[in-house]
Amino acid sequence: MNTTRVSSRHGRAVSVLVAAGLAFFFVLGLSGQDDPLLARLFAGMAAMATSIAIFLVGEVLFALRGKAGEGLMGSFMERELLAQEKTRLLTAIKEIDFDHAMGKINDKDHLDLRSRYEAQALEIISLLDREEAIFRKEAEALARARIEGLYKSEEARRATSQ
Amino acid sequence: MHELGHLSLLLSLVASSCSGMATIVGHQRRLPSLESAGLILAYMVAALVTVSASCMLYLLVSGDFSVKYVYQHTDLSMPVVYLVSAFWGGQEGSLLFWLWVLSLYSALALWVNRGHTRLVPYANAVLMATIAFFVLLLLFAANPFSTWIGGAPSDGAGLNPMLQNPYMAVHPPTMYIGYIGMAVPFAFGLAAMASGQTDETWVRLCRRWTLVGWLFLSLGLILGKLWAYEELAWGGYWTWDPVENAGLLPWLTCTAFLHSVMIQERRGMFKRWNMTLVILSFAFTIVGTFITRSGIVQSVHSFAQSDIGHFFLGFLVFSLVVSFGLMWAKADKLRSPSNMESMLSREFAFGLNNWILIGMAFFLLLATLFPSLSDHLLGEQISVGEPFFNEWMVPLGLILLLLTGIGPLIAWGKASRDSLTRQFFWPALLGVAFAIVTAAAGALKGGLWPITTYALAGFVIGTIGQEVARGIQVRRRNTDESLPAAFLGLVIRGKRRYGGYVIHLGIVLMFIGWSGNAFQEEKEVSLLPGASERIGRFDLTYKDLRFTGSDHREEATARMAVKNLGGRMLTTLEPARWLFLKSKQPTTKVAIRTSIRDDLYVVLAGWDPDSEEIALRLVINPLVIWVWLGSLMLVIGTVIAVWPEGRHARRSPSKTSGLAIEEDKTAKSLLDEDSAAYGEHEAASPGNPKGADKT
Repeated sequence: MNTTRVSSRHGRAVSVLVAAGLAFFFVLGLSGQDDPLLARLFAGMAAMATSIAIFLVGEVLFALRGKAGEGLMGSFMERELLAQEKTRLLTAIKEIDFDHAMGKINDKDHLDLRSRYEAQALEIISLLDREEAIFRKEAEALARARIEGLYKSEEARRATSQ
Repeated sequence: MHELGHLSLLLSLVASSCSGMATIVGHQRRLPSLESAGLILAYMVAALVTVSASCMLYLLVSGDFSVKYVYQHTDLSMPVVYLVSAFWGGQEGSLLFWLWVLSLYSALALWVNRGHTRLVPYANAVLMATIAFFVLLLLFAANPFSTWIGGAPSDGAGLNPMLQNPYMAVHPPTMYIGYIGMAVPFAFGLAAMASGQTDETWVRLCRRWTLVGWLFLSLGLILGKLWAYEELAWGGYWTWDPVENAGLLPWLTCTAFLHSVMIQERRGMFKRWNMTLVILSFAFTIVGTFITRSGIVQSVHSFAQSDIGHFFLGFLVFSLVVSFGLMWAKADKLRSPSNMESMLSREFAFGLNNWILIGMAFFLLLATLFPSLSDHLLGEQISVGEPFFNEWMVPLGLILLLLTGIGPLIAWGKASRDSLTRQFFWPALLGVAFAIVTAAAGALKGGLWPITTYALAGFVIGTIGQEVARGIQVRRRNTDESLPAAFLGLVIRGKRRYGGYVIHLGIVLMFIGWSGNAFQEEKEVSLLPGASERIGRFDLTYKDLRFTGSDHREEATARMAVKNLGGRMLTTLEPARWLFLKSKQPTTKVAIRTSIRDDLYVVLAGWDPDSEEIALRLVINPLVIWVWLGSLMLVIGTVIAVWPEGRHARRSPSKTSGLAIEEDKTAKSLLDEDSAAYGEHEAASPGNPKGADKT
């Protein structure tokens, strides 16, 4: 579930600034002038939380309009999960080897468990390779588009200067 | 500011309801944008509740007595630290604090696990439903922002004097965080059943969150003990008070879960059992709150009583019906693929440990509620005192201590006789040695239980020592490291295992401390100035009684010179009583001299202002410091166990996956390479010829 790609960078920066400005103006207006410093800090905390809440309203609207769950972030998340799973399985193999060396698992159980974990880990590694290929293809496509864009704008700049 | 706090609560009710529904509908109808929006709404709930909490803190610190809660729990004379702690010092504030931490904890858990797309929508729905319950309670039954209809009073009524204690400033929030910690495993457990993903994923996701919750529950219980020891002048730190018991209930089930989860991870067993344990742990947090706030039992926490108990009872029944209903509906999915092979196995030892922990929890629940139940059912209130609890809990606790030693020694699957002899010999010998040495030192005076405790303590220490020694041996066989480096490497690479052993060591120290109760001495005496009294190895001389005071309290302090029996001056103790003028409520300030051997505990019970004769309660509490040292070890061990894996374990997968494949390496060789990269435990393993070569 991707929640990041929902607005343009500029749009998001503007919405953050507007939310923060509104919140601080509104909340700090409610606090008294003679309040102790700690009370003013808590009022500031309330203002900050209000600005985050206002900003998140915008994010909800962007999310409802957008196509969340697509793009590089989606692949990245899946890849991260697979990587975590791989680490877990390798740790599990390490642990059963240790238990076996300490005499806590008999030979049969050790072989059974190790082969089960190995099979799972191999599956994850294959999936990671597949994921990485997709990830790389997307990254390369993005880089290519960016280079082409730069090339075109450079050409356009030359054409106008001539 | 109170209007903003109230408005934020209203908005958080809308947001939490929409969030839960949006993620479920979005997930079921395959609308990722709606699902994403639902999740963002969950973060927004955290922000909105933070606004409410900040407003409450602002109102408390700025002394806005137009708000009833601020009036009822603060006054102008209170130090700022107690103004802040007044947030959780009363009913409404503590519920808002609970909601605040729950919303932040939920947002964090959802953010960290957002990649688990099958579980998160359902987990979010459960967490948002819990949040919505608390918001409803705050809006309609215990509103912290309600104001006086007339003008604002010029000063408040002040915080309960018993709560104006440094331990009490931190004990309630740690308990609440511990309680809230049980909500995340509960939510992910239910999500696993609802989504049908009942493999080990949810257990793995929850383990660290559960451990954090367990750490805070432990801390809360420890701080509560410290508070009771110093503030309530009981002479002890634990009396099986109903609210102490209420805090212990989820701790017991959560401890059971943290052990049984290993069986599911390793052997795929105990699936239903683990689900039951997370449900029970969550339910017991609600039971605890119900007991504390309903007034159903007499307790030291009577200041928290109110009429909102029945809301918690309703929520408890609803949660249990939904959870166990779901378990019943998904019974097939929760069937374990393998069975227990032998009673001589770690699985069986862990199972036994679980049964005892659960038995203790239900015994505590029934015994705690027994006075109320007998009142309702028999028309006569039958009280259940400390000796009754001790009669059952002490032997059960000692069996648990025994299992703490057995668990790590015994093998998975089926242990052979040779292995049992090899593993148990040294720890058992140490246990016997401990029993002989402590008996020779006079421990038999305390009866059977203390000597059994020391024998078992020796056995568990032997187990831990042997495990560490053998671990170092195995590691050094493969890495040629020095002894300290091998020890450090062992702990760093096996944080969960060795953090667990540190926790076990802490538990052993606590048991040693608890055994001191068998040797407790107590005296109640009256002394005139200059008179002396002897207790244990101390000689106390009453010097004088001083009266001091301030605008808000009067203090009476007795000065007692403490010498040893040889006449050497050790210290001066100053037991006191404070009278808070506004509430007319007296509190006792106990004077304690702590040492490794025992605590001298002096309570000023009363005085005659004319003759300055004082009434004192003198107690010798042997070995108490070991309870606190054990508690510290428990905290350190939990931090080690919960500490995230280092860089070695989070190495970028690119090093060993895709790029390597391009170099024509097979996946099999990669696996061996990555496993070996952990640099240990390769020896003597039939599944690992490389290690076998080394040996």
